Amino acid sequence: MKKAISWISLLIVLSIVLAITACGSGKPKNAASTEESSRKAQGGEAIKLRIAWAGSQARHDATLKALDLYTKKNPNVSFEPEFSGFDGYYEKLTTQSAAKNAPDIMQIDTYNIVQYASRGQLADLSSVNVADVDPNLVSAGKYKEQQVGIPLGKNATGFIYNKAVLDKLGVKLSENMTWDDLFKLARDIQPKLEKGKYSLADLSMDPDAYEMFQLSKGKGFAHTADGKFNIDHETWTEFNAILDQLRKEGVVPPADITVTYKQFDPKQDLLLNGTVLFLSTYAAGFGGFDNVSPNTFALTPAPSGEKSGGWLVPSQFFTVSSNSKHAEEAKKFLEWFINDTEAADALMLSRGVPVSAKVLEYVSPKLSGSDKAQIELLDKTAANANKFSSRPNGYWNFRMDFIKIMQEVAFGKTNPDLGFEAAQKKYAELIKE
Amino acid sequence: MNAGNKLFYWKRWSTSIAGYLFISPWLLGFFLLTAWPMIQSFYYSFTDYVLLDSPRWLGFGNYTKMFTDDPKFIGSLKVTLLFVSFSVPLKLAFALLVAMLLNRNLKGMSVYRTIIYFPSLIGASVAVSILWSNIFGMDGLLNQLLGFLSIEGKSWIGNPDTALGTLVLLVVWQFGSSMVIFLAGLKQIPVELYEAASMDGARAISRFFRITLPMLSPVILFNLVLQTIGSFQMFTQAYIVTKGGPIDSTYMFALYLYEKAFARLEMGYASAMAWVFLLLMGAVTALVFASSERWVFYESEGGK
Repeated sequence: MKKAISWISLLIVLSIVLAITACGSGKPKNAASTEESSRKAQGGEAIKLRIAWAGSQARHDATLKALDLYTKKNPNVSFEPEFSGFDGYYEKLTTQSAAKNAPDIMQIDTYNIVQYASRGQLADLSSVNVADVDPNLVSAGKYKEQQVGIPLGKNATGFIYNKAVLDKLGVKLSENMTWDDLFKLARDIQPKLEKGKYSLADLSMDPDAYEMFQLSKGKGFAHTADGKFNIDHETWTEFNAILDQLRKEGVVPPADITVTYKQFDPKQDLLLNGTVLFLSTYAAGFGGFDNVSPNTFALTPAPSGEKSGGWLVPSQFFTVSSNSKHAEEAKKFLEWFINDTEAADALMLSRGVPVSAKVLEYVSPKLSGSDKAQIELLDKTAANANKFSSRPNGYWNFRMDFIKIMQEVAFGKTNPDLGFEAAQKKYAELIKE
Repeated sequence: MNAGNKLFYWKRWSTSIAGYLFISPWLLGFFLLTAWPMIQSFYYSFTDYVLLDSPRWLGFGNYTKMFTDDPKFIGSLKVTLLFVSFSVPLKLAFALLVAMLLNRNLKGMSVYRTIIYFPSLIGASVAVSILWSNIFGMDGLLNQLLGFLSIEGKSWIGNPDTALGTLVLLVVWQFGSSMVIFLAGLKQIPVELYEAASMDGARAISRFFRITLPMLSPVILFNLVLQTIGSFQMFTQAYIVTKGGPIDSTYMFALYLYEKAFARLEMGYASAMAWVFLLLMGAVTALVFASSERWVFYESEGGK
């Protein structure tokens, strides 16, 4: 009798469980199929493309607008956007790729495109029409002669500064600012600032600023074109000595303030919260700053020395995952994304200056002040830009560790010489053929 | 006789079948989502496994590298041990203190209890971690308070000497679950003991050390083990508040493991780290249990 009861209760439980799961899976299926059929009626098979990117709010808004537009024109294609700031973006992307669950379309930058390509994670994009794009940018998206990334914007390195404050102080930047000019200017401004404000960001923890400095000395990038370690010991020592001195004088913030920097965070971005007046940046990042406080900031080219300190890079690439089931649709979308004028209307300069010459010509009359600032920086940098070669495989990991080494030097936990040796060792360990 | 035996066995067997069926969802989850990945990770820990390629056998390579040629590994171990040895005792002491304050018969005590427990509900969340970095930042609440006392603050989170301390404070603030367990333990202590002690003229301090602590020691052991293990696994707060920085001063073991596994995809090495970590936590827990014989008092055993 007891046994019978236990079996009956088991059966009841089982049937309830089955009923629940049946209900659970039944509904969405129906919903999906009606959606699908309505899409099919409008022509073409319904396709959902997952697309991932990182950047500022301005970029998110612009991209979402463009995606909506594309869906309106191609009702069978819809998107599942996954966007965020740069914090944690690549961790998420690598995890997804490792689980063979990468988004169909992924935004990747110059630091890690080689890494993704060398692992065979990127689909061949040779069929995408890039006829109107600067060949230099196109070739930056190649890995072993194969097109794996479509450049989305032209970008240049430089400095962003708080023009509002400088105007108030009556300071005007010279056209061709050298590093000495910049350091002198910073020292001149500092006494006029209130306590807790600094004229210059601590560049000794900023690998891009260091590269600008080394380039201006004519010593090249941190790596050679063929991927060898190229940080110049002497330049490195000088750079750290200068910034250490500035830190002691209180012209750049103490190290413990610099490390709390969080890009585009209104409270924790040292430029946005008014702690510093000068910061190194990429042109394409300008919109992100300008969006938070309009008409405050301006761009100036990388300071020069014996040579120019600036360079031009593709701002970001869109790539297609090699696991994507909809690679053809993704490619069609990418072609539209860079070549179509309507797309350009939505996107404007949210990923740097448009790569297509035709699109640039089309948007030029519509540009806002902040857009023009980007183009101006590009033009100024282009005049004698250093030739950028792609970052070697593993450079992203090296960069993360290099920043840590720079911080150790800035905090005085190690000296520049030992830091140099540590960087050299890390490079040998992390950069792969 | 024989038949009766058979029936007996069938009965035993059939009841357990029903039992296993009932817990089968859990069993399935355990074997598929816990046991199997553990076996896999044990195998991977002996390989060079970059997720996207197939694993390459290394033998003990990962383990030897960890202990001989990886300063970050040693560094993160040190940070973690430092963190555990400060956060656990502080948290337990604080939880006990609050539990004793709440163990009184005051009007509206349940409201206080709820309010005081509240931080623990939200404490491990991302939002609180972000709040924390605003409290201890340069322009944060703490420095503003210090400003009233004309003390010049600093960037507590940005400074390698104080960053770990702010994280310890953050977890101590989440004392709630230990506090509730302590509170339950305190309620179990017979009031007669205190009454008798007071009559004999024992003061509050000696009542605490002679009655409360010994009577509470099994609960303390329980909390100690739980919090030690939890503390070793510290991740969210360190990841969001400090990202392991500045200059690795809050670079917890779990963060390093995460970075190796998910930022650099070195799954083989990360697996080996996870196993070392498991052994370490096991050893520390075993130590705690071994020491417990000396200080944990069970009422049923009688006085020693």
